[in-house]
Amino acid sequence: MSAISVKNLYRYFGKLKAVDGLSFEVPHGSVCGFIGANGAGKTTTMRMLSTLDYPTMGSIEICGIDVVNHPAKVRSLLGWMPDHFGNYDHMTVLEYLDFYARALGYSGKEKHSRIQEVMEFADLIPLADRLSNKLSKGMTQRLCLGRALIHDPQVLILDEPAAGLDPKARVELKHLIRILAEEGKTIFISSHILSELGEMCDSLLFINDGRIVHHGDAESLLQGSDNAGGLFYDVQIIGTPDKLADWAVTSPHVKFIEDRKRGGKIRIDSDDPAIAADILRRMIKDGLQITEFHKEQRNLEDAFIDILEQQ
Amino acid sequence: MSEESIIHPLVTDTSKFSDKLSPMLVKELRQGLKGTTFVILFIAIQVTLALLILGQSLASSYDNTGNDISTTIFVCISLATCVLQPLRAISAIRSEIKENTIDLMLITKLSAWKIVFGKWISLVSQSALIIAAITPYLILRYFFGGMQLFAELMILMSIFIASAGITGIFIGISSLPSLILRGIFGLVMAFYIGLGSLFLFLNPPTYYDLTSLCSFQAEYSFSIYSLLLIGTIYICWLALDFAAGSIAPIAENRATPRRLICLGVLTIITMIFFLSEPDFRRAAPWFIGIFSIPICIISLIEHPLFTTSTISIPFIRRGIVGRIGSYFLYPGWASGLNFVLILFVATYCSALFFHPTTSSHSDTLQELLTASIISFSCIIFPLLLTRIFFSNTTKLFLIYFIALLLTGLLSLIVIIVKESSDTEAIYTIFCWLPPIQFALFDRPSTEETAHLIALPTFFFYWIACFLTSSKYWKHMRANDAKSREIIDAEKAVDSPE
Repeated sequence: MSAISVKNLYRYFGKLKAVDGLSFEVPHGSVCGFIGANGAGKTTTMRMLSTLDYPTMGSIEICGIDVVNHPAKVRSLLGWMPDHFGNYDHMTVLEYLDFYARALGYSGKEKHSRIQEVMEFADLIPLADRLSNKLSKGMTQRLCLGRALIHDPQVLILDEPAAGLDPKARVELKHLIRILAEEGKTIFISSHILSELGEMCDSLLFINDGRIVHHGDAESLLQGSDNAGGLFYDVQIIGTPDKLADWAVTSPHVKFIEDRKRGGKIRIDSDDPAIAADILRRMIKDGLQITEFHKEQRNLEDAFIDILEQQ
Repeated sequence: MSEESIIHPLVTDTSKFSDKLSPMLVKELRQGLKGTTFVILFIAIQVTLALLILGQSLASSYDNTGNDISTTIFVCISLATCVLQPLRAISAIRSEIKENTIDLMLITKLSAWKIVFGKWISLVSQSALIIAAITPYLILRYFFGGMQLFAELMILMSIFIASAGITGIFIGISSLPSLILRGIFGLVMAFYIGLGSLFLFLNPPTYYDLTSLCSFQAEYSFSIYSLLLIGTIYICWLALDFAAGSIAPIAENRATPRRLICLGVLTIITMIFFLSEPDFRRAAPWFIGIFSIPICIISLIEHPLFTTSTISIPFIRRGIVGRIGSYFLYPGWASGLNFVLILFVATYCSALFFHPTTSSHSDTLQELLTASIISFSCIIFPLLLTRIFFSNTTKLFLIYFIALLLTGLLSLIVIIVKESSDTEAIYTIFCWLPPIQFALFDRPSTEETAHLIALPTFFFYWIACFLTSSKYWKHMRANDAKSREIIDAEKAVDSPE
């Protein structure tokens, strides 16, 4: 039995198809990255997984329990961290955790030990008497993670937990998520920072317009897009990047991907070195003053864009 | 996470007493009592009362100073607890939804009802604190003499009950998604409640009537007080339940218990009338009709979501009774329409049963029946408009409310045109509008027409709405079939042979 099982999931908002026939499974104890552009249907899917929204059609099971028919049972199994949330006025970190511990049914010594445990885990003890709405973004995310862990859930659904965090806070959060993964929790996490997801996830699920466009591990994703997408080159020139962009428009096999300080990133839709050499020769012939031309390692962002373009 | 750890002193600081209370109440009290609004209100009322009473006691040299102080206390307390305190609840639910904190609460063991009830009880506790804090002024007032101790304490208790009821209504309003609707309802209600409080306490005849009612010296005062008390509790509960319904997961069936409880309340009201004096019984259909209107509207604006198996299984398990019950008690406006028919019949029958049957009263009975029919038409007609023009809307409440408002507006225009041009034909043209039927009913020359068209119009609207509900019943029956399969599978597991 999978920790998360989604079958033919649809969610319509009037005529808008937010989720359009998703089917996937996440095994127990694995970390699954959920990737998609803004408005792709990530948050809607995650809310349905967390019993907070309902599907128009299809079924979702968390540890074999249907989320629509048995929301209360499912809620005892999962921890949820939304992409954005407010904190309460006039409430300290300790009072905040105390409220959620009590709301989850803990009292007395058991409550104290659960709060103590999550405060230690998320390094919240120094913040215990700080007002929860006066914390930094990183501290707030740690507090929210602590809250999601109070009842020691089997499945964690984390929607953009690293959004808006500074690099230090991001590293801290990544460290905490890694510990949880090592403890055997099933983690379903969405993020815009694809490189981070690639490092920590056992599988990646790409979604676009409410549909799955890829489901596999990071390696298979890079491999898959390699077969279809060509190679990327960093080209540095003397002059503005527009020159390179204008040249790329008129050149076969070449696509200008992004501006860089002294040139840009291009894609050559062939992995034949002879074609790359020919393109370089044409660049020079057409008057571009090349100072640097080298192949770039494909990353998840490139693969993601490739997949979207193929779609 | 480590299994064994030393408990941090701050963690153990959390009060053991609070463990015995609802987490929601503790949270809301922690926030509410520290909030600047409460602190300012609390201090302001103390300062205002102190200054006013000091001023009155120094300035007055006549015998009525005691009563003036009572009135001042009641006005201040009613404005603070029936207007300002409930206004604090106006965004109670919506702000939690907006801040995404409602989701965090809903995935705990807190049910939607516990969340809403916790918010309500917290505000009511704060109102109780405000009322309790005026005890020194009551003692002071006692020494000015002329105090009707029982009546004045009853008035104070009634203010508290009214405050609790109004706070409940405002929490119900706070669950409305539209800011405009929340603003309109909230401010209009607050304005009229404030105005009503001033009128009630500053106008000597109404204040006298109130004192008589609260001291149980007036005619039927016990029955009236009981009905007002039940009415307040019922409306407050209905509003809180409405708010809970707006945040509850769809597997949580709130519609069925809500409708059953309403039927129970109507039965209690009927019993009170049955046991009260014969002359008072005549008011029964009015009360039953008025108590039916909120639940009718709530039932008609419930979204026709597919019914989950957790909702349908209890009905299916009850066989034919459950199947019949599902037509009236399933969540959604489709069954709500059938439920409205039950309440219509109940109101109609109460008019026939409780109204005197003597020939001198036969005209008023006819009027009563017609008025009740038109009232129910007024409730159903906006639903029909919604079904015709916005059948796929996800904002049923808003659309229903706009349809209701437009119906009222169109009727008002028709009445104004009629009054200015004196053309009788305009009423005949627009007699299909329920409010116009009230206008017809109000004129001796057209009263008979109103009697004749009211019932057919009501049934026409009801049947038209019923026909539009057929596709939802198909969905629900398809879901019933799935639920039946689940029940059969469970039975097969229980008895493998």
